[in-house]
Amino acid sequence: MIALLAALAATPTASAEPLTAAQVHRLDNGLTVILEEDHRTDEVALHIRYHVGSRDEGDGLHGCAHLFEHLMFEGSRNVGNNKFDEWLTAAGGANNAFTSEDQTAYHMTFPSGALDLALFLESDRLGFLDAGLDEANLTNQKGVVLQERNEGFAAPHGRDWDALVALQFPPGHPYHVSTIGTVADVEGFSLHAVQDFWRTWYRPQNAVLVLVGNFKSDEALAKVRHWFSDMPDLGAPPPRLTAAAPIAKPLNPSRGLLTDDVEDRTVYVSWQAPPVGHADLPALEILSWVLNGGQGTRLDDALYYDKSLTTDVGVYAGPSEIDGMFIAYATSERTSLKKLDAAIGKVIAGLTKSPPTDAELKRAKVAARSGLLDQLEHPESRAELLADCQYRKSQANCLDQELAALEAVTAADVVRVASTWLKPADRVALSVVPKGDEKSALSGSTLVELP
Amino acid sequence: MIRAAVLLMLALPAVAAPKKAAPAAPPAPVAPPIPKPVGPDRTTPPPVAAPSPLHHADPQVFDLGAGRKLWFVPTPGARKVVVQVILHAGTHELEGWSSPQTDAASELWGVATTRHGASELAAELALHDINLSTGIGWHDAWAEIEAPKEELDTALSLLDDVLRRPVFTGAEVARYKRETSYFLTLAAPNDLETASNSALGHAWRPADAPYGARPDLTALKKLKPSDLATRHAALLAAGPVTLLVAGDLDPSTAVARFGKLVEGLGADKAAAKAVASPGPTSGEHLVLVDVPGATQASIRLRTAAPPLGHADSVAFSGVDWALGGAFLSRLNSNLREDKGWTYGIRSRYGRDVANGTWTVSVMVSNENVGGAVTEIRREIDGIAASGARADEIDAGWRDRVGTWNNTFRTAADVSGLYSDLATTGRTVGVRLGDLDQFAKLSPADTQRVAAQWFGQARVWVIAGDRSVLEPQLQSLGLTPTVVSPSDAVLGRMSAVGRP
Repeated sequence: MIALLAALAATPTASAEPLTAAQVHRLDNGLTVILEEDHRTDEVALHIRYHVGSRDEGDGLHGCAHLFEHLMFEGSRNVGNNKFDEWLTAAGGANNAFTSEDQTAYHMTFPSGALDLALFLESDRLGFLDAGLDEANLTNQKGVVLQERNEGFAAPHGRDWDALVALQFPPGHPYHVSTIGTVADVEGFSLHAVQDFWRTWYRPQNAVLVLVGNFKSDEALAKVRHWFSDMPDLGAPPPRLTAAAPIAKPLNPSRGLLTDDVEDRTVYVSWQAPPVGHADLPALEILSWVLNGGQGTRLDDALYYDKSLTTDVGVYAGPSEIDGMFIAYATSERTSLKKLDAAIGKVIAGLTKSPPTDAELKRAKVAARSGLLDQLEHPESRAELLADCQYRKSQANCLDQELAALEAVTAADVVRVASTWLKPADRVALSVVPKGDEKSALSGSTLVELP
Repeated sequence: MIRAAVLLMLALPAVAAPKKAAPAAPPAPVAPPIPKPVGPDRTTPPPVAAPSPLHHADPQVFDLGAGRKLWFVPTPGARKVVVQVILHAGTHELEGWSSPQTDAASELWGVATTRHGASELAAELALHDINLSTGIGWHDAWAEIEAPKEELDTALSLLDDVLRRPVFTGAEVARYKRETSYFLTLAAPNDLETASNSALGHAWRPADAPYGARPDLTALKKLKPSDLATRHAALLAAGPVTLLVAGDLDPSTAVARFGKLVEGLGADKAAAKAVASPGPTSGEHLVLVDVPGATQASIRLRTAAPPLGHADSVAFSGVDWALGGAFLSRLNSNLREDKGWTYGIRSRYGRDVANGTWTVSVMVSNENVGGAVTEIRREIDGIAASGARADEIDAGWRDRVGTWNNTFRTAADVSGLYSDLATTGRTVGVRLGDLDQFAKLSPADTQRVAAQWFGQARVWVIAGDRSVLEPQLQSLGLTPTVVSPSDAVLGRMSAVGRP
C-alpha cells in the first residue's frame, strides 16, 4: 500500500494542452491584437470587435449601431463603394458582421496570401470611413435595414424577441429596444449623427483584432502594425449607457401579449439573469442543459417527449453586459398556454426537491464541453471565442478557466442558482397568439406595444 | 508585395557666387531632418497571388466482398472520427415514386434500438459526445456517427445497433404522424417562404413523374411501426454498401476494426442512380400563392440547368456564381445594394447525375414585386447575352479553390467531400478536373450555356397578397395560376407547362 501510494504520488499528473495559446499585443494607438497560429489548412480568419452596440444608442438613435454596421461596407477613403466586398471576394475571401446589444463584430476568412489585403481593408474602414459616409449610401442602407426588419417581422414569430425584451427590460433600460431599432429612428438618422457615431465609437482603443490561421505570428504582427500605423490613438471612448437603476421586481407588467399571423400559441417565461462575468453563470449554463438537452432532459421530456404537450420547447441562457436573460419557452397549437406555463414552472420548482443526478450533470457538462471544442476547430469561431474572452475577462486565453468552472459545477450549485435567479415572483411571461385569439393568452396579459 | 514609398527631403544650403576674398569658413554641417514617419501605401490594394488547388488523396479502398467496400481517408490531427455507412439504394428502390412509409422510416431510424429505448439511446449518445445521424433519400441511405477518438468503440457499438436492430415504436410513429400533419396543414401554409418552396416543387413536376410525389395525408394516417420496420429490413439488402471512415487513425487496422460493421449487409448489384425527370421545356409560367393581407412577397424562379457531369455543368456553375453566388453577385448588387429592396437575394444550382435546376430566392415588399421580377429577368437576359466577366469567373474559381483546400480541417469536412464522391460515383481527379476547367472558362463559354439553358422554360412562384401583386405581374405579361397556401403545400395543383 505504501509503495502504491508512493507510485501514485510520484506519477506526475499529465497536464492537458491548453485550449488556446494566443498571443496578445497592444499597439501604440491602443488597438488590442490577438494572434493564434493554425496550420491545418491555408485559411486565415480575421475577427474585429468594437465595444459598441444597441445599448449605446439612446432615444432617437435606436437602430444606429446596426445601421452603422451596414455602412462599414459601403466604402472608405481608399476603398470605393462596394470595393470592400469585391476585392475580398476576388481574393477568395468571404465576410460578414453582426451587431448585438453590447458589441459589433466584423469577421472574414480568406487564403493566407490575402492577409495584407484583409488588413488594408479593415484598417481603412476603421481609420478613414468618412469618405464612404455620404447621403447616397445612408439612404440606400436605410432601405436595406428597414427591409431586413420587415422580412424578419413578416415571418411567423418574427417579432417575438422584440416583444420579449420590451417586457423584460423596462422603458429606459438600454436593452428595452432591440438591435434592429425602430422605423422612425432609422428613417430619421442624419448623416451628421452617423458620422458622429463613427468618431465616438470606432477607435483603436475600443477595438480588439483577432487573427487565427496559417501565418507566422511575428510576421502577422508586423503586418498589423504596418497597416494600422497611420491610425492615431484617439483615446478611450466615452462611458457607455447603462441602466439607471437595477430592474425593480416584480416587474410590472409581468405578463405581456403579442398577437401575430401565427397558427399556434407560444409562451415565453423569462427571468433577469446575471451579467457577463458573474460567478453564477457556469451553473446557469449547466442548468440550461439539464433542462433542455434533448430526450432524457427535464423540460424536453415533461413537455415534449413524455407528454406531447408541445411542438417545440427550448431554453435560452444569454448573459449580456448589463443584465442577462434566462428564458424557457413552449409552443403548441392545441395545449393551453396556462397548462404550458404551469408545466414549465413545475419542472423548475422540481429542481429543489430533486436536484440533478450525477448522470444529468455529466451529460450537461459533456454537451457544454463538446460545443466549445467543436467551435475551437474552426478558425472563424475560434477567433470569435478569443475576442469574447478578451472582452469578458481581459484575457484572451480564458477558455481553460471557463471550462474548469463548468466542470466544477455541482448539483447544489444548480439548485442554488435556480432558487436565486428563477424565482416565480421575478418572472415575466409573454403570450404569443394568433390575431383574434387574445383570450388564449395567460390571464392578466397586457398588450406589448413594440417601440 | 508591399510597396513602401519613402520620401526624404534634404534641405540644401543656398549657394552664393564666390567673391574675391579670403575663403569663408566651410558652413557648419546641417543635420538632415528626421524623416517623417509614413503610413502604409493605400493608393492601391495589395495584390493577392492566385491559389493552387491541393491534390487531395484518393481514399484507400478495401474490397470487403459481396458489394461492400471500405473507404478510408486519413485525417491527421482530427479530434473526431466519422464513420458513415452508405447504402446505395433508397426510397425508389424500396417502393417506387410514392414514399410516405420510407419518409417516416427515414425520420425515425436511429431513435431507438432493441438494446436502448429512445431516452436511453439519447442519453448514451450525449454522455459519450456522439453525434448520430441517419436518413433515407431517393436512391441512397446512410447511418453515421461522429465521435471523439476515445469514444469510437462505444460509437461503433451504437451504430451497429442502429443499423441492424432499430426499433420503430408506436409512440414515436404517433408523434411523427401528429407533427407531420401539423406541419403540412398549419405551419407550412402559414409561412410565405415554405409555401413558395412547396409550390415551386409541385409546379416543376407532375405528381406522377419521378420525384413529383405529393404529400399524402391519408397514407400518413395509416402508418404503422411494422411498415417502417419492413422498409428498413428491405433497405439493408437493397444495394451495395460503402463504409466511409475519416479520422486520425491507422489504416492498417481499418478492415479489422470497421469491416464487421457491414458484414452481411447490402447486395452485390449496381448502385441505384437518379433518373431524368425534367421540368417544363418552354414558356414563362407563374403560380401565385394567394396570402391575403401579406405585406411581403416570397419570390422563386426556377429554370432547368445541366445535370452533374454534363459538358455544360462547370460553365453553368460559373453563371450561377456571377448571378447569385456571392454578396456582390449581380442579383444582390442590383436588388439589395443598388435599390435596397431586399435583405438578400441568392441563387442555387442544384444537380444530380440526371437532373439539374437553377433557383432564385428573394423576399421583397409588395410594392417592389414587379420591379424585382423585371430586374431578375434583366440580369438573366444580360448574362445570356454577354456572359460572365473574366473577373467574375476568377472570383468564382478562387472561392471554389478555397473551399476545396479547406477540406482537411475536420473529419466532418472530409467525410462531406468523400461521401459525395461515393454517392455520385465521381473521383478526386474528376473534381480537380472541374476546378481546372473552371479556371479556364471564358466569358464566351458562360454566355453560350446561359443562352442555352435560360432560353428554356422559366417557372415563377410568388407567395403574397394576390390583390396587390396580380396587377403588377399582369402588366409584365405574367398571368398567374392562383392557388391557396394549403394547396401549395399539399400539392393540390398541377405542374405548369405540360400539355
